[in-house]
Amino acid sequence: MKLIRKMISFTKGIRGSMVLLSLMMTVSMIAGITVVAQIRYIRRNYELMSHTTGKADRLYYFMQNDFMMTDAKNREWIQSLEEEAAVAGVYPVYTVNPLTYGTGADETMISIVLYHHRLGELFPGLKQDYSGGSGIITASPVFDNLSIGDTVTLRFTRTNVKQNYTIVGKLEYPYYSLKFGGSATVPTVNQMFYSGGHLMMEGTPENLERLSNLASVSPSMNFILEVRDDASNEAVDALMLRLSRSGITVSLPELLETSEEEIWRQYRTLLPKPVFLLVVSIFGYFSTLILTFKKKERDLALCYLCGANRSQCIAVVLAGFALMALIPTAVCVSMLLILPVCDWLGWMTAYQYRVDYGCWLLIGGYLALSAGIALITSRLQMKDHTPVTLLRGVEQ
Amino acid sequence: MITLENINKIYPVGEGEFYALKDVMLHIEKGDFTAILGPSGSGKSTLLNIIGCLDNPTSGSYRLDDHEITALKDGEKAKLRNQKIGFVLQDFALLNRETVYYNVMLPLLFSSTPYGKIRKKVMAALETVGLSGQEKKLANQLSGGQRQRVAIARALVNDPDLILADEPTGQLDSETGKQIMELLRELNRQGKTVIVVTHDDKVAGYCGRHFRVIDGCVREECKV
Ligand SMILES: Nc1ncnc2c1ncn2[C@@H]1O[C@H](COP(=O)(O)OP(=O)(O)O)[C@@H](O)[C@H]1O
Ligand SMILES: [Mg+2]
Repeated sequence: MKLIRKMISFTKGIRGSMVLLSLMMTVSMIAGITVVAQIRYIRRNYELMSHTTGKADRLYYFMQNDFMMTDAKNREWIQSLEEEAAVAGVYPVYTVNPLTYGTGADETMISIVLYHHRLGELFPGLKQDYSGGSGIITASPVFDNLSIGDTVTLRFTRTNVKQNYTIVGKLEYPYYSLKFGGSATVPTVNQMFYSGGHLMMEGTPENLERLSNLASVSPSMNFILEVRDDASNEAVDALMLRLSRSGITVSLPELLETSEEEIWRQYRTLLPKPVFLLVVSIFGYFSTLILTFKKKERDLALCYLCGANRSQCIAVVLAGFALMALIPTAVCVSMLLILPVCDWLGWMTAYQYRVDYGCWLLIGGYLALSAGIALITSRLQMKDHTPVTLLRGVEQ
Repeated sequence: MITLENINKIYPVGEGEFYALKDVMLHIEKGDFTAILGPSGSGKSTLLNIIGCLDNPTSGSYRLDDHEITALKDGEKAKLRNQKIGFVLQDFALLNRETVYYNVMLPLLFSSTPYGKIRKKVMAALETVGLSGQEKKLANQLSGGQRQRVAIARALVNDPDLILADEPTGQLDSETGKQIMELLRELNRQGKTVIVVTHDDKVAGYCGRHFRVIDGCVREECKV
């Protein structure tokens, strides 16, 4: 109660500036959040891929340049690679469609994505578990009301066949699903992820065979290739030569390196904005903050005169600051809470944002810095002019 | 009650030093009504601020009741200012945008007084200074004399033993000044120790003891 009374009193004479400061705080925090969320998005993909089981030097990312090949021919070619002496495994991602889920108005287009279980083992950061046999693993909010053991009915629209599948696994949001999509001369990890949810199934030969009779099964143009531990240099060279006729091969370390460079390139386009904001902040926000809190210098001297000790003076300043920061913080915190929900609902797929601890750190840091400046402003005042000189100045 | 021994206050001025107070010896008993006289710039306020635990002397010893003030921490001095000392300053030192009520309650906000007991204390203090019924007015709506009464009410609200007034009549006309001095004399009669800093001999006429400060040196004068 006493604190509230002091808080209200603190705002007297600086209410205009406090409203302005609140606005500036809101705008700059939101701007900061969007930038940090973009940076975190880019960074996440990199972290997922770099978190391997330590076999990175035996992994290669391969990008085909022959787009004219039919799916069937492509599959054949991929299977022929597996027979190479140096190869331990080839791990493309297969997409099965068209198919729908649900009936009537609730009918939803959906795809099944077939993974090789090795992908989950190689990249534990993906948190994918493909031990599903011919069952289905859900990775979409659409299936959130279903649990393991339930059955889903899928309709293959080309053949109009309906089939039931048991749910054997559920990926938790956020879903980190590989797709090896796109194509670029310089491959980066940013092309490797699905943005939307879907169904997953293990890419066993039996599953491939069965589903290709019902729908079209297209292998990703790009894939991960694992070389044997004991493969001879000659065999690896021969493999690389063969691959070079059909596309580009980069080792995983190389891929991560180019991705890292790409990330910094993206940062460079993203970062001038926050730097500009920082400059504007320093001149606008912080000077307003300092001037506003400087106005309270005499009030604090009066509190001191009336027997407030240092921590009570600090509490008065912090209470005033808290009042000012209340609305901006509420706005930004609700933004941070709502964004993941939007993302989860699939409304955010077009935006490359990721709300994680980085955004919370930003808000926390921003508030701490501002409160620190507010405090230092008033502390410096108390030092430069002790209440004595301050009140004497008023006196004369 | 108050004993100052060899108090020095030195301000650094450019390269050199400025002695605002030189070897001050002073003793004030409980219940005294004391005037500190002297020309402007002689060091009166500096002395009063040290007595009021607002400022530290550069050297020397200051005892207030049983406390050696120079050895106390900031928090302990704050507590003393809050509980034992009431200040009245020349410019009234009020929060001008606040109500009379809030201004008077300010020391209580920094004390351990429960919130529910504040109102009674504030009203009693306002009654003592003759401002009953004015508590809702803003400080800047009052006349100079009324503002000084608010300041006195604030000084009184925590029932301190010691009231320090730095040129309390400096900004008032002589009639209002007289009323303020009479109020302070009344408080002294009720048992408060009152110290008034002034350069006005008429104001000093109310007081029982006189100390004169000249160039930082203090000596007691016999009353004429
Ligand atoms: N912070 C300070 N730094 C330097 N000199 C000061 C400071 N405060 C006061 N003084 C000097 O100390 C002297 C005494 O000041 P003060 O006690 O305010 O005088 P008075 O109240 O008698 O007019 C003055 O000459 C003043 O200029
Ligand atoms: Mg003075």
